[in-house]
Amino acid sequence: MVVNILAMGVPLSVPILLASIGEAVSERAGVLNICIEGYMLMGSIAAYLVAYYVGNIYLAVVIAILASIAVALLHGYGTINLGCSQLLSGIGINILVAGIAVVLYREMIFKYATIPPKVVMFENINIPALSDIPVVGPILFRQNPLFYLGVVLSVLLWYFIKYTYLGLMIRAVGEDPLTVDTSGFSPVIARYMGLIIGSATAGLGGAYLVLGYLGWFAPGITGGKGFIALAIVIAANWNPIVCLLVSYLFGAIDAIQLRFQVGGYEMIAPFLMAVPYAFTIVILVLRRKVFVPKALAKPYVREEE
Amino acid sequence: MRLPLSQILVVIISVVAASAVIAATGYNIIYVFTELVYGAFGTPYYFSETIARATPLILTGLAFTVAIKGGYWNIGGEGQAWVGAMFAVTIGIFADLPFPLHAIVAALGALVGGALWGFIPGVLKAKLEVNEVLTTLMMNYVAYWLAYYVINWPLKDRTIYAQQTYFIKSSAIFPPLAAGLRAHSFLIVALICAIVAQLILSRTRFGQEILSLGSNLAAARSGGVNVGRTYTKISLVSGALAGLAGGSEVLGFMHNLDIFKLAGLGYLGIGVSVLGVNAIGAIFAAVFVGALVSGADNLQRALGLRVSDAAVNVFTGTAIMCALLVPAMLIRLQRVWKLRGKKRVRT
Repeated sequence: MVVNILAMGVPLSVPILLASIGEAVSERAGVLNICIEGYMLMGSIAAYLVAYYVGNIYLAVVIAILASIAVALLHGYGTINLGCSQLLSGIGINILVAGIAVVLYREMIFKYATIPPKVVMFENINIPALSDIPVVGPILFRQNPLFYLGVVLSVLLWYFIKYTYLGLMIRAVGEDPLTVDTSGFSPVIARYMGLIIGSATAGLGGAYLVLGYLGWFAPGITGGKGFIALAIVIAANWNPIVCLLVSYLFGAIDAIQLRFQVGGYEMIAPFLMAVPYAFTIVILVLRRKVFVPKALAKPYVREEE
Repeated sequence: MRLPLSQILVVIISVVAASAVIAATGYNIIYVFTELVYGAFGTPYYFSETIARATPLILTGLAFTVAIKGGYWNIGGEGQAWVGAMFAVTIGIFADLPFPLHAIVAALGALVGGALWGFIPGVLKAKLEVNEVLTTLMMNYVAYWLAYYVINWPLKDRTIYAQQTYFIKSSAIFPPLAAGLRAHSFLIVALICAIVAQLILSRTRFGQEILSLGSNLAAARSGGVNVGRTYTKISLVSGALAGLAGGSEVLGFMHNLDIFKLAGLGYLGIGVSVLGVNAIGAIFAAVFVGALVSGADNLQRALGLRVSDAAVNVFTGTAIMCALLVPAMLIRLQRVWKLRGKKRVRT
């Protein structure tokens, strides 16, 4: 049973894993996406509509990512180009997308079917040999392909941020945009890179909710997962690989909570649901001065004569 | 190119953008707008619905406005409203007091609850320099799950299936403004709060301190303002206002607490604050959003459109984005024009 719960934690961690690894990169570039919830929701509805009307789940994933990036470009134009507040823009976008997604859903699906039709999903893949290892096999190696993709992406993004030139520029623009500017690299481009990476993985996380977990769309499908992703980034110290571990921890808490919902101890569930948020607050308090990208959520507008 | 023009532009562009959305879904724009406006202001009853929806938004809008004037990012109105609502509903159900007193005590409870929830991130910022954006955001969800527990277990109305608490006693209800209306007398509390907030900001020393913190932190510090203490005070006031919003919904509108019916109040309040700019403006911005809610309800009846709440979000979101982007674009344009002018002089 413990193995069951631990294995259950993985699918529950995938959306927050995907969303958090990109957000970590984006925040490293100084772009805070309060609207990550909006990106995920956009990814979900786009994935669902394409999967339902076209029937190709790979195309659905691509469109979900593009739709999420499109929303992010609105955030980017306001905050990176025009220097608006990232927080206000993010909250505005969350409200806007919450509306758009539901209008799309009701206009394109609900009019014709009161129960959302199920779409084709990504099947779990048993990795040969590895999936037969006791305990570890069922937990880690009999999962959704998007989970494996998330693990690979978290390592790649960690490498990208830490060891590549563009990664260096992204970290630098999150600390001090002026230095990047004087070094001859455009802070605007560096921030857009972070933003696009962040929104792409968030859109992927949204797509996973439909194509890897539920099989249909519901207006409240993201249910605060975007905010959990923000929490993970903080708890993981803005490191994509640590995001992998923390998102699994939060996913496992979610799995335990679900277990309690059928076991007759339902009233423990809401307290477990609050744990990730409370945990993040404690981390913020304990580690308050160690590391936060210095230019996080601070607009950079070049002084022109 | 100061405020009026840019705000008129904001309104025009919001309307155009909203029309585009309506046109994209294939409905007649003029018909939709007529029904929307009629549903918000067309009859005294519809107008009272607008007011009923606007009342808590005035308070969450004020909560954000007061804080942001001091550079304090209270994103936690949502959670503070939940805690305020929990305090109000508990007092409303269990306390045994005569009518006006019971309602007032319950409202004060909401105020205290919101203030307490707002105080935690405030004091963390003041004493330990913990970033309030992230703590207030996280505390929204802690409050939500706390409310989820309270609504589903200790205060659950066992006679019905829905996730609701027991109803409060009639002595704790803020009565409707007129018989048969849902607009209620908590509106008066909200309006008084708006006026007091405006007076505090413009006329008092505390207001001066808030504004100096918001405009130039370093100058405020060297000018002798106790920065930490001011942040703490702001967080208390802001939390109290958001808590009152939760109390308003419980004591005036719903008369119980429903897990589905309070969500979004805090975030919409931030939108109201952006649209309203200052404390008095928050009243009008809240009426605007309230009108959208009430108007969209009518749209649903008129068109059989099952999009009412979603349409409100589309319009409000569009308006917020326009309110942010349009002034910034105007400033950018102005700059470009000035630069061109300068270059011409030089050559």
